[in-house]
Amino acid sequence: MSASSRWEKYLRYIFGGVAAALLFAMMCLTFADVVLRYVFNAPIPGAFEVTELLLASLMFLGMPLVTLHREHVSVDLFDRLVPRALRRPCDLLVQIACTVCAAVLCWRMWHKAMESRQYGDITSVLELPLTPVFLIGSLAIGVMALVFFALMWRGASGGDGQRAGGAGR
Amino acid sequence: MTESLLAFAALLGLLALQVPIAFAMGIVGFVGFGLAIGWNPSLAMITTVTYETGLAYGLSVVPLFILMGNFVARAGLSDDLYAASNAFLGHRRGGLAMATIVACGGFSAVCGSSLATAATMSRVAMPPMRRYGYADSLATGSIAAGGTLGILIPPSVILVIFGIMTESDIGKLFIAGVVPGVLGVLFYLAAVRFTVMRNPAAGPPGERLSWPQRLLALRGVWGVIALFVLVIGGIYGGVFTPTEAAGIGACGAFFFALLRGKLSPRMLYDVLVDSVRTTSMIFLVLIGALIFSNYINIAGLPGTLSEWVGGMDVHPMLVVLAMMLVYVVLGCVLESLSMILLTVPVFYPLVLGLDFGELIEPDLVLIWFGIVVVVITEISLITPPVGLNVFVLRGVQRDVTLGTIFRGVTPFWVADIFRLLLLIFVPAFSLWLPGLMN
Repeated sequence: MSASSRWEKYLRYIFGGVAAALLFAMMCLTFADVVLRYVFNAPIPGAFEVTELLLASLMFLGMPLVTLHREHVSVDLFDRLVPRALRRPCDLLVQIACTVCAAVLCWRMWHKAMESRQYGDITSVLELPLTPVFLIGSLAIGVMALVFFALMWRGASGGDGQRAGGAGR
Repeated sequence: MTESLLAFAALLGLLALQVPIAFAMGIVGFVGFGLAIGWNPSLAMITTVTYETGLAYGLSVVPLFILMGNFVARAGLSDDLYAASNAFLGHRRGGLAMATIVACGGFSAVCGSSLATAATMSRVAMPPMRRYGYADSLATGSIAAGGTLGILIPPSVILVIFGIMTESDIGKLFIAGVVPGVLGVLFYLAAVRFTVMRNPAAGPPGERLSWPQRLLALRGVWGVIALFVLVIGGIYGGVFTPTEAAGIGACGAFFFALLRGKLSPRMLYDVLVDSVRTTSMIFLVLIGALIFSNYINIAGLPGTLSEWVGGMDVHPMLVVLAMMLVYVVLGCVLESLSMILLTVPVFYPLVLGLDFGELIEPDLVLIWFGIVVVVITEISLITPPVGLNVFVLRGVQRDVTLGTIFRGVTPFWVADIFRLLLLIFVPAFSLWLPGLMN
C-alpha cells in the first residue's frame, strides 16, 4: 500500500469514526430528551446546547471526507465547453483556489478559537466552553485544505487527475 | 444593482470552470463584501457564518432526517412498500409502474431526499418491471419521477433549508407538503394511465392477487406508517418540534433496521459516516450561499428588485409565474439545492411584499411559496440536461440510455406542470392543513 492511500485510510477512519460517534450520540440525546420530557416530565437540562456543539463538530469533521470522496457539488454542464488541452490546467487552478479558500478559513477559525479562549466564551445554560468547537473547526478545515492540496499534487504529477468536485449526490 | 449582476456573472464564470459551488459562492460573496465594506469585516463575516451555521439548533434536523432516510433504506422497508402497492395495483395495465409511484410516495414519507428515493426504488422496482416486459422508458421514467416526491412529502431536507433561510415555521412547511404530495402521486398515476393508453405494450398487466394475499402484503407496511404517523403526526399535533421528531424518527428507523437483522456494526458505521458526509456537503453549500446572500443583501438587490416590481403594478401571480420561468432556466444549469439557496434570498422578500388579497393569508405566503419552489425544483430534477434523478437512474441501470429515460419521464413532466399551475393558482391545496394547526 502506498503512503498516500495509507494516510487516506487513516483520515477516513479517524474523522469518519469520531463524526459517526457524534452523530449517533446526537440521535440518542434527542431521543432520550424527548422520552424523559414526555414520559417522566424531566427533560435533560441544556440538551439543545449539546446538540448544537455536536452538530457543529460533526459538520466540521465531515468536511475533509467530502473532499476526499470528491463529493463537492459542482456544475458539470460546461465540461464540454472547455477544450481538452485546457482541462488539466483548469482543474489545477480550481484545486489551488479551493486550497487557498480552506486555508484562509482555517486561519480565521484558529484566530476565533484563540479569541474565544481569551474571552472565555461559554454556552448560556451548561456553561460549556466553545473553544474546542472552534479548534475542531480550524483543524478539520485545515485538513480539508491539505486534502485539496494533495489532490492537486496528484493531478499535477500526472496521477489520476481527479477533479475537486463531481456530481457526488 | 450593477454590482449584484456582476457578482452573478462572476459566479457563473467560476461554476463554468467547475469550482465547487460552495467555494464559488463563498469566493464571490467574500470578494464582493470586501470591496463594498472592507476586507477585515469580510474575513470576520465568513468566519461567523461558518461557525454559526454549525451551531444552529434548527439545522440539527438535517443530519437526523438524513440518518433516518439511510436507516430506512437499509432496513428494506422499500421492498415491503413495493410488494404491498403491487398487490393492489399490479394486475392493471401499467400496474407495476403505478405500484412504483405509490411506493415512491410511501418511501418519501420517511425519507427527505429525492435522489435517495430514486436510487432505493430503482433497486426494488426495476427488476419486476423488467420481468413483466415493461418498456424501459416507462419503467425508468416512473422511478425517476416518483423519486422526486422525496423532497415534497415530509420529512424534506429542502423544506428545512427553505424554512431556515426564510425564518418560516418548518413544522408548517412539512404539513403543507402533504396534500401537494398526494396530488403528485395522483397526477403521476394519471400519467402512467395515459402512457399505457397510447401504447398498451409498454406496461402489460401483472398477476392478480386475492384479497387475503393483499391484506397479507399490507403487513409489511406498518413500519413505514408507524414512523410517518409518529414523526409527522407528532409535528402536526404540536407534540414534537421538528428536531425532536427527527431524533425520534432516526431512532425508530435505527431500531427497525436492527430488529430486522439488517444492521451489522460495520453497516451501522457506514450509514453514520454516509450521513455525516451528506450533512457536511449540504452545510458547505449552505455556508457558501449564506456568504453570497450576505453580499447580495448589502448590495441591495432584493430591495431594488422589490421596488422595481412594486412600481410595475402587475398582478402578483404574474410575478410568481415570472419567478417560475427563472427557475426553469436556472434548473437547466444548477443542481437543485444550489438553485434554491441562490434564489430564495432574493425572491422571498419580493414575495412577502406582494399583495395576494383574499387568496392567501399574509402570514402563510411564505409557506405556500416554499411548496411552489419545491415543486418547481422537483420538475428540474427530471428536466434535461441536468435532471439529477435521471442521472441517478442512469447510474443504476447502465444499459438504458439517457434519451430513453428522458422520453419515459415526459408524461410525468407534463403532469408536473399541471400540478404546479394548480398549486400556484389554488393556494388552498398547500395551506389548508397548516391552517388547521394552532
